[in-house]
Amino acid sequence: MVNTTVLDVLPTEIIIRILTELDAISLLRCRLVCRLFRDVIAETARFNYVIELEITGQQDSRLTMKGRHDQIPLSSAQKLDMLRNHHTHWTELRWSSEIFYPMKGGGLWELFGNVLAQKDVEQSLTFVQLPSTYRNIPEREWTVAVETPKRMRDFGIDPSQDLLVVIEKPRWTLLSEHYYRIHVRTMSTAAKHPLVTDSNDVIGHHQSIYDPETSFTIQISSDYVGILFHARHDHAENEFIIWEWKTGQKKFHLAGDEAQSFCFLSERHVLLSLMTLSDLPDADVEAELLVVDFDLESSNKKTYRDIDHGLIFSLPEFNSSAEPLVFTVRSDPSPPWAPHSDIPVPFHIAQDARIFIASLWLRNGHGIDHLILVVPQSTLLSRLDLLGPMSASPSLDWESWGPRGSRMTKIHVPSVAFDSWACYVHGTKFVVSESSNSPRTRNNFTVQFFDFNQNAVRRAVSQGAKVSSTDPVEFEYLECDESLCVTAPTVFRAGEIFRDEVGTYLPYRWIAKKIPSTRDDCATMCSEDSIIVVESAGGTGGRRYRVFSF
Amino acid sequence: MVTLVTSDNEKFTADKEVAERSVLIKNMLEDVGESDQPIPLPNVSSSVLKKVLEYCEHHRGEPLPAADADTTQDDTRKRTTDISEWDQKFITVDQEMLFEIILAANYLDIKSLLDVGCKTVANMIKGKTPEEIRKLFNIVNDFTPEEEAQIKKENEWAEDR
Repeated sequence: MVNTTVLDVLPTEIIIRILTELDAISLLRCRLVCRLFRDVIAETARFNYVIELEITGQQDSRLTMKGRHDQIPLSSAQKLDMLRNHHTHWTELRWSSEIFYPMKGGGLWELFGNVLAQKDVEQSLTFVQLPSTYRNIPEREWTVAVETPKRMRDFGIDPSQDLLVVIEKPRWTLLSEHYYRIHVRTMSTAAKHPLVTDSNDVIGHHQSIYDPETSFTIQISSDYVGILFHARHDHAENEFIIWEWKTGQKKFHLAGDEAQSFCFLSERHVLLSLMTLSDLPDADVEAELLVVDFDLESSNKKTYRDIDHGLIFSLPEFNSSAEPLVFTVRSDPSPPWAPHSDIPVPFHIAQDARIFIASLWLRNGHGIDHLILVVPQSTLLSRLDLLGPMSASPSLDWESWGPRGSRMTKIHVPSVAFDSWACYVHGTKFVVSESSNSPRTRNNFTVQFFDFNQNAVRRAVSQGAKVSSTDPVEFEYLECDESLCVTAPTVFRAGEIFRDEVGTYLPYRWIAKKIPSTRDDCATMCSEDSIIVVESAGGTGGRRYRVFSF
Repeated sequence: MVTLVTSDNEKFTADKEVAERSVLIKNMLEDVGESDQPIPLPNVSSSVLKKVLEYCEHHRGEPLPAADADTTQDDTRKRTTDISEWDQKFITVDQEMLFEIILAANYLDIKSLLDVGCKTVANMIKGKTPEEIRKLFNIVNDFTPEEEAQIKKENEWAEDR
């Protein structure tokens, strides 16, 4: 056979067709094969777009845009432009506009899937689909009257499924129990959701002890809705339940005050923060992260010790004077989330682009410390071959997963309560604000933006972006408007908080920006195209959401 | 029945329904109207046409993709690389034949066969290093060391996978 090659035989158009079948990583390898491959990939917008999606942690939304023939599809070149624009503006924290939304008096609100939802004083909910310049999403606001239940206690939303889950104020039954009715409705009209059968539009739940001060955390993840009932009453206990919302079937039921908070980690895994009583003599309480494969669990009510498919991710050992007080985890949106097919977005956050932030308040000697631990989804999912029955104590030492797979740092946030309500995480990014009273802000309310997208950080470093040899937490002043790649580790000296020295190395991108004319006690939140400052009532009028839109 | 003549002058007969899975042949038949004239296929050899007709025979009766369904121009979604079991067996041939089938499918305008061929080549590429890809397809590394270093630098962010 003569020495022919694929290049002599196949015309370029067919080579392009073959390359079209490849993922971003294969395309990168192909461009190292020969000049022809390199040039074809460089000159084809589609391939550059696929590679850029991988770097920016996004995925193309085309698959979710079914049935939209009225829309002229964007070309790959147009989407590539939008993607680069979106990414650059976030990296440099240059928003395109500022919008204000007054805070309604209903006391309940949610931010999920780029929709801000608020309860009115009356029994109605107002939704705002937050707009985006760089992804070309219009603002849309609508209000629905919730006829049933008459007495709403809390609610959760998932705009991608037009899903509204309403917890009705519980009734006190004759058995001295609390009976909860959880209503499955649509966000568009508050009517019964079309995907539930007639008999299943209300999910029931008994709380065994009357506890009117119970509060709730709700997160929806495709077919599942998870609700954590935070008990306040001394004799009541926390309960965490996952239901399939279309059928009302219970999937997983955990009872016990060890469970402090949860978020969905994948389509079948959930991450919980636990505070457990230690077996060690000199430490009373231990803070641990627990991953559960709820798909394999029975639906019987159980304590965390009875879980059959769990794995503990241990934190480093604390020094003897440090005691955990509050331990929560947060991540948004739930991993399977994708925008609703009615919203013609060009691209959206990829399913594996998630960080999970564990927030830990602890008493340390005479003071209070606050730590956050940032863990990418991949750090947790890549170690799940060790899942097993909790009776066998399956656990991972901090050293085996933490130092290279996470970042632990001290961050100032306004209050303990902030952790439970502020949605300050989205995908791989999160925001925290620092008040003008802080010695580091030179009298300016300042927002710090962190992005843990590892591909983007690595690319920025290889392209010569500014690398910081100090963790910004150590900065004397927050220098604003300059994006930094932080590759330096964060180190806690032995005895500072932990018994031994603890260093974490996961790199991230960081930038700080002043927010003019706002009050100090504001909180900051983050969604796919917005940074939201929740302003308390001040000289300028009532409480409001100040949305910086990208 | 339709008569097809290959580049090496062999005659094949096939049901019209089978032959018309090729858009090229379908158009040619429409142009010549009702006639028994053999159709010359100067770009396809007999060994390849035999394979192509085997494919068309197997898929006879399946709906053809619409003429404007060629979305590859701007289709960045992750395509399914699943190939049906029969197709997979059918396309398990040596590399020379694989490329010939792809070229024939392209020339004859049989989109589904072209897809199967391209996906098969793509699956061969996946998971391989650049050197393995070169070896697989007998490609010469024609980069200067500087060029190669430059691309390696651009790819740096994706290392350690």
